[in-house]
Amino acid sequence: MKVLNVVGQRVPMHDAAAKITGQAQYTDDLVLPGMLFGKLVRSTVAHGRIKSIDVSKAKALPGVKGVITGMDIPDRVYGIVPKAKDEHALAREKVRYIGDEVAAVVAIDQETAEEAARLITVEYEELPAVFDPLDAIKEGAPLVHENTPGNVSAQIHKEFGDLEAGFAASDYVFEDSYYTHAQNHAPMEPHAALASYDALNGDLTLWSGTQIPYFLKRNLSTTLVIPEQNIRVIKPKVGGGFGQKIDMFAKDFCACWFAKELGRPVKFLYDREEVFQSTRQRHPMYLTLKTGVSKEGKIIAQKITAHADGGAYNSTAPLMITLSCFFVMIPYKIENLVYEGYHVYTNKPVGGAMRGHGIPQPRFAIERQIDQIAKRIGVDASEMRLLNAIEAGEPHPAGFIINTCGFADSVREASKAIGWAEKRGKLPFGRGVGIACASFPSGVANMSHLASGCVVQLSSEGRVSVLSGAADIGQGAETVIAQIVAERVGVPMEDVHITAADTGLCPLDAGTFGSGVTVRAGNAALNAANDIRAQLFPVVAEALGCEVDEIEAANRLFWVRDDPDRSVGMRDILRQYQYIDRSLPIVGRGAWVPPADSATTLLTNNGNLSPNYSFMTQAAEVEVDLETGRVNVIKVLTAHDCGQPINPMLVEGQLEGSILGGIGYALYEDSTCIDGQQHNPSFLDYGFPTMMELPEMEGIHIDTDDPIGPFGAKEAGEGTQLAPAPAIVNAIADAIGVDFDRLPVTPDMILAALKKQREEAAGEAR
Amino acid sequence: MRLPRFEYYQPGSLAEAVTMLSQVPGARPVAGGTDLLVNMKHRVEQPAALVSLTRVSELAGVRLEDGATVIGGGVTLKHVQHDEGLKARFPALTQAASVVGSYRHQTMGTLAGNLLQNTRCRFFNQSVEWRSVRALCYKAGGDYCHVMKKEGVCFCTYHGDTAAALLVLDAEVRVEGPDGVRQFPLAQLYSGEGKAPLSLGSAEVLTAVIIPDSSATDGDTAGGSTYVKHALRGAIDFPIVGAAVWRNGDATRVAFTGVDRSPLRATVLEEALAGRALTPAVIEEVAPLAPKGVTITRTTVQPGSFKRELMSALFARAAGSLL
Repeated sequence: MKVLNVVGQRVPMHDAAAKITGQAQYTDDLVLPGMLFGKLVRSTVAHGRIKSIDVSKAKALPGVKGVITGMDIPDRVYGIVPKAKDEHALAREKVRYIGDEVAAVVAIDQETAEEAARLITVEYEELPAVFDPLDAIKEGAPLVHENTPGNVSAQIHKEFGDLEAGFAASDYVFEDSYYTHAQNHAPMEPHAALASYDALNGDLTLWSGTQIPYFLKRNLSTTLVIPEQNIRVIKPKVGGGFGQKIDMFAKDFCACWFAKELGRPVKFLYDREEVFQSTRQRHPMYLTLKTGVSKEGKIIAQKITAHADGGAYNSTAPLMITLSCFFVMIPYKIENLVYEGYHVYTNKPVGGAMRGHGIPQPRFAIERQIDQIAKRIGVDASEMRLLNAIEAGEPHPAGFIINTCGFADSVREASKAIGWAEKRGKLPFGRGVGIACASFPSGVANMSHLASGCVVQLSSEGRVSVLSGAADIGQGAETVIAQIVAERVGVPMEDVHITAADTGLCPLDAGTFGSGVTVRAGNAALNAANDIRAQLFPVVAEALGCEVDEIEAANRLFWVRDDPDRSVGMRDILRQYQYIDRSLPIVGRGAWVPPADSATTLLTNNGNLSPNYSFMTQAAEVEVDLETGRVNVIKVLTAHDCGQPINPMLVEGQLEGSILGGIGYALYEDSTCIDGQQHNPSFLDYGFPTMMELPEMEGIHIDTDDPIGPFGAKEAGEGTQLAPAPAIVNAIADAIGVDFDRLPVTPDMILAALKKQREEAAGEAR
Repeated sequence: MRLPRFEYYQPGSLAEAVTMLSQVPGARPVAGGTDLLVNMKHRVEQPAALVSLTRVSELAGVRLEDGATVIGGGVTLKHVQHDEGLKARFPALTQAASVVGSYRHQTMGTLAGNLLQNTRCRFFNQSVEWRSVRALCYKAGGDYCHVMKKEGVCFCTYHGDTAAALLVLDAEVRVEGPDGVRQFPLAQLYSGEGKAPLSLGSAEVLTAVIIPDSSATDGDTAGGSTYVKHALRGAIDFPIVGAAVWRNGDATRVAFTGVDRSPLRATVLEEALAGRALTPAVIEEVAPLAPKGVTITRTTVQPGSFKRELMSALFARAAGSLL
């Protein structure tokens, strides 16, 4: 039994008070002397060749300090995945979607910059555009990028076992198709960048609302043609990212470019409309599932075909389609499996990483189809999930190493807590329950650049300073890392001060994506804190007259485990440390990279994708208003194996956020396009759920003790976003007997389905 | 998104406000600003000057005049919602006020402002940059409609909540302008045109809403009034459809919002109900008539068939609650 003092405690976020009192500084709060303001000019056509750009009126406007177009900057492409780089900060020959950047201006104030932007006229030769991935792959479809025939910019084909033999051995084979729509991350803080240039030293500093400072630095270096060592990226407070802030954007490049050219600080801040239209969104996906099962409901073979609508650029395309593929192999055991996935360019807003990253789409399809199959063959949908549940230690077809797995327990606990036995199929018409399941990696293990580093300094006064590269985007990464360090060094939280995500000061980190921060950066912090112990504890042992491994530490006190009266305080120890002439401060260093037998690219090789895996079952109860079609989500609960939570309160925050996000994905949020133009680019029209739509929520913790995560922790961030939507749609099916196969399920769809149901019933009665 | 530049005036009396509105070129009145300022940010309305009505004391307060209830145009929706007298006598109005937008819209927004809000369309209520992608529509000063290909007609839809309630309460409005004071039935405030939805002169101020004593109900079994709204979410949103029903004995009045270019009384439905006592069977019988005579267009993303079903459903729900 582990005794923990800081880890595992409900510690408030270390910056919560600063955020609540408005003192926390986000990028747009930062003001530098002489600062200029920027504005981007965006394409008004979905697909077109740029014939000419007239910037003369903008340049002549008093207060304008600079205007650039794509032809004024180096011809260098960028992108988050090195081999899939396809974006220019400003378009050169061609624009590929409405909202694509074509020019940038800076001026002495925001109003002047906006006025100047409106004075720039662009003449286009309009080209035929394509708005649906299934059209884009057809012979003769317009090419979004000339170098990508068929518009397929990333694809994956994985085969395990013998699919055809599996189908032949199945009692039933079902084929069903599904569609999932575009969802916007809608972070509270719009995207912003502020750059400053020191011409004497050639040093560029960028403050940016980013999730991955180190990747941003690299992309800036290659596109600005400035050595990486001359670029410092600082992440101020970030008001939410959800994956939308992992990419470099035009605002980052243009702020840096103008700062360097003009020698004055430059700020770019996106409007909410720009966030919707010109950053990233969850990929819409067409999915077809062919599944063979035994009469008991054992899944014997499954083939999944997926076409993702990538929009105009790649962003994370290869990674997204890979994750989409690998996470259909878990949490169910499917021995004969084929996944075929395509990332397809269209002339639409760009798809990118979004909480769950390529996985919520197939999870919706799989979890829906399990319910449909269970109904067709007459088995219980919860039992069917248990029958197919993966277990710890089993060999995995793709080579995942699953050390701990609370999945089957999560199915049992969630079913019990939602009242499955009493309610499923037994509630009055209009009311129903549903469950859905998922698993997620704690970061991606065997791809490049995925090390985290940490430096911990213990000063002569006992102040613990932590340098971490981890990017806290509001989820509480800095708090979690500080808790790990406090626990290991033996001090309370208030003694720990963390500086993070400043590439000029902090060690390398992969950044915030793939739900890897707690395990990766947390282990780096644990190693650095252990390094402190290695230096400090011999002195403690000498003072206490015991062995190093007998020492317990907490709350600035050290004592002998079996004789707690023999103790000494941190202050005394640090004084003794000085008296024996050891040098202070004590500095601990740590780094961590997920263990992997061999580095693979996953697209071509298999392997253990992640250091560990979270598992969960989410259950929903809904009530459908049969007259208006409105769905009231009454309750959502999560039975969750995230290992040892470092901070249970922050895990609850993730669970609750995922439920609201899942309700949005299932019922409300639809980032629609009309003729390629994003149609609802405001919080009013996009209409994500509010506190008014919040259901009763409950979290059930499934205990596991993972050997790899720090203190046994696994991810608790993105995974919980996978199952709420299918759980809700499964509950709707239980409530009204309608099997929706596309998202979101809106009141008009429900009324239309009920009407059809009544007409069919009347037809049968006749 | 930023506001365009404009001049700002803050008169201390109604007379002063009317003078400013008639003399300052391009001046528009503003109270809570929850509708107008958003439209100004989108550059779909760009008045050169705003005349604030917040310090015009004549627009304040709820009082009785010869038995009729007079609500000052500047009374906030929050005030309307919590006025005990209004709540007891005209529940449809206080219910409608309580579901407008969000808490902040209700504390800033006024009753007159809610009645006078501009009509809306998914192609019109967008930023100047967004609209620059396609042809300028009728409402924005162009010669095209992105919703209906009908020449010269703008289908922008009215989405205010309180208007439907006040229509079934047979309310009148009082306006004051350079030519003096006039008072007329609320329905006449609306022109029925999407492009220019109001029949007010540019220097006229809506000073009061008058509800006749005959519309008061005391919640007994024979009478009452109510407003029900279907919106995307439980707060913030405009009604996709809103329905108000008033009943006293065998008399029933029904009005809708969110379905056409102005809020309107459901005349076909009311005729079918004339002289008949409301019963569950009667409600079920006449509910399908709710959408009759209404021109529903795709100015919002919801399909017309859905809105027609909602009209029947919301009427039935509202009427049923008054039984």
